[in-house]
Amino acid sequence: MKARFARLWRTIRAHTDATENGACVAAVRIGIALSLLVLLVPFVFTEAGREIVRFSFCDDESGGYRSMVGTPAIRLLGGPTEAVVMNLLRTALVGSVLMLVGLFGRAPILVVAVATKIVFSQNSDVSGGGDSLLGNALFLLLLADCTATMSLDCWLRTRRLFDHTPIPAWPRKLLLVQIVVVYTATGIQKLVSTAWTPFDGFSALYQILQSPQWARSPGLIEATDGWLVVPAAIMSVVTIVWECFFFVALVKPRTRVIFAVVGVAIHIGIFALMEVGVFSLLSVAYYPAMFAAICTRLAERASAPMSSPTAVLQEESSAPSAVISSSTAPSPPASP
Amino acid sequence: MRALLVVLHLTAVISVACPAPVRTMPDSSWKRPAVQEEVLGWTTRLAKIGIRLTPDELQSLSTDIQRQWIDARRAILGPALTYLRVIGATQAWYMFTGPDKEPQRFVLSFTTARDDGGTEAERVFELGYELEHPELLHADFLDDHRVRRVMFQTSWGKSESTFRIVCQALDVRLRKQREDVVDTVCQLVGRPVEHPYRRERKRTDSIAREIAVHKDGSIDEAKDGRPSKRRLPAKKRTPSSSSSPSAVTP
Repeated sequence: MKARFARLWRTIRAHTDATENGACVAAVRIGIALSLLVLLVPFVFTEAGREIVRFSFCDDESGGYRSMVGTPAIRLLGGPTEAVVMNLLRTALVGSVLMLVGLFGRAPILVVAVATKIVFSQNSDVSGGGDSLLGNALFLLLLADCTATMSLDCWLRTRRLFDHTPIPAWPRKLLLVQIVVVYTATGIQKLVSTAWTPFDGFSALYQILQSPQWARSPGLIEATDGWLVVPAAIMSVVTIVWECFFFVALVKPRTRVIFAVVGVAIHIGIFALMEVGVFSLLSVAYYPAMFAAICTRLAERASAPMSSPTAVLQEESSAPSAVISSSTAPSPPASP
Repeated sequence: MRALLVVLHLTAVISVACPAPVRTMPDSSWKRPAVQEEVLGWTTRLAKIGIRLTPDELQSLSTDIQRQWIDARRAILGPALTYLRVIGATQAWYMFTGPDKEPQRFVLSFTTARDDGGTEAERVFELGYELEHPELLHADFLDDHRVRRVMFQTSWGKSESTFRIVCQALDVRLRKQREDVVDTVCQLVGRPVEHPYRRERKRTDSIAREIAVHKDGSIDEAKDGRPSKRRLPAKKRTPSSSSSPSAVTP
């Protein structure tokens, strides 16, 4: 028992001590920042977006649909008024741009995390899975050295866009576990309803697509007069199987490509047929965390033409270059 | 130390994310057709394996199990829940658990006075369908998932008051754009969804709830086609000039 525990602890230590190329978490950072821009730009720059903000997150005196006391954090800033909420969203937008280009390290991520948390926690009635996914991603990116490469920080430090100096791998692994938890948990809880099972002929999506709350076109099913019975049943089967078995991607890395390809297809379907905000974009933004080796290879290939021949020669003849050090760096233990 | 913290974080995430009821279902939710159909389905299935329960008994048993589970979960996972809430990493992954068999559609209309003394009704929107008065509200506003979520909540028993306050908020918006509005009328129209294998079933609309907000701010309510006995007094309006929502498309 003691020996088994010691072995388990050694495995955990090996995972948390491992290092890898920073391209993976940098790609996640860029994906999350892009999703944030898709979310925040309409809020800040369009009248409809501002109307949504007023209606959802502001007090009734500022155009909200209900009176709000506000969380302690927003009360410190002056309460859930339009001015306060919009300033927080503008701050988050600036932070997202800095996150995207990778400037000032993790500080912009902290700013975005705090600002969005304050705004979105004003009204739990309008919060959903997308906000939770965002909160988790921002927290985990805060733990990662996610501007080590593919960032302006990297450019200012090394005069190159790519830096292959290894960074700790555990934050990337936590991102991977998080997305696995999301899909597996949502799949298992769906089994409560018979509509997702053969008991009711996998009728879930056929029925959900008629809901005016979620469907982009609630009249689609009626208009197609039964043509979508079989496609919707197939989509339901694929969705429930893919979600419930997503944990396999964690233990069998070779299956990740299949899970990712199906995942992208499902999210394209969700985006086309349902109105769930930036949930699909945020989910797919986690996907680079599944492919440490591929990200590294792509980053190395992309960085190769960036270095001028003289620079490479100079580095090779003097100090070991970043490229060389990454290729000779001790390889991390098998990815989770 | 780092390994220990990572293990603790993972334990918190996985244990909290495990599917579990987070609150007992209110009676009004049990009465919904979608839920009743599920209960009936499960009583039939349990009967096939020799467990005979009436729908009421199954509901009662289910509520007891839910309550015990929730209490135990709260006791065990209290610190993990607090930790995840503080770091902003909540783990609520309940998405599209089951289809709503009879979704209620939010419909907004208003009436204007006619020359002959009567009134004329005009529909502004039916949620999910084309906006009929784009000069009064933004289509993007109604299509947004957060706004739809609020409208969706109005149809659930636990938030009956939400329907009233949403209607009042929309009334304020309408009257800012149209001075001739006599009454703002909000309806929740129920319509069973078409089941793929029982497509011949006749589906008819039924008005589950209706609210009329009058010019003086007073409200008349009707439920399941029957008018409410109470008439709510006018609510004090608090228009704010600095932050007035302008829904008019420029």
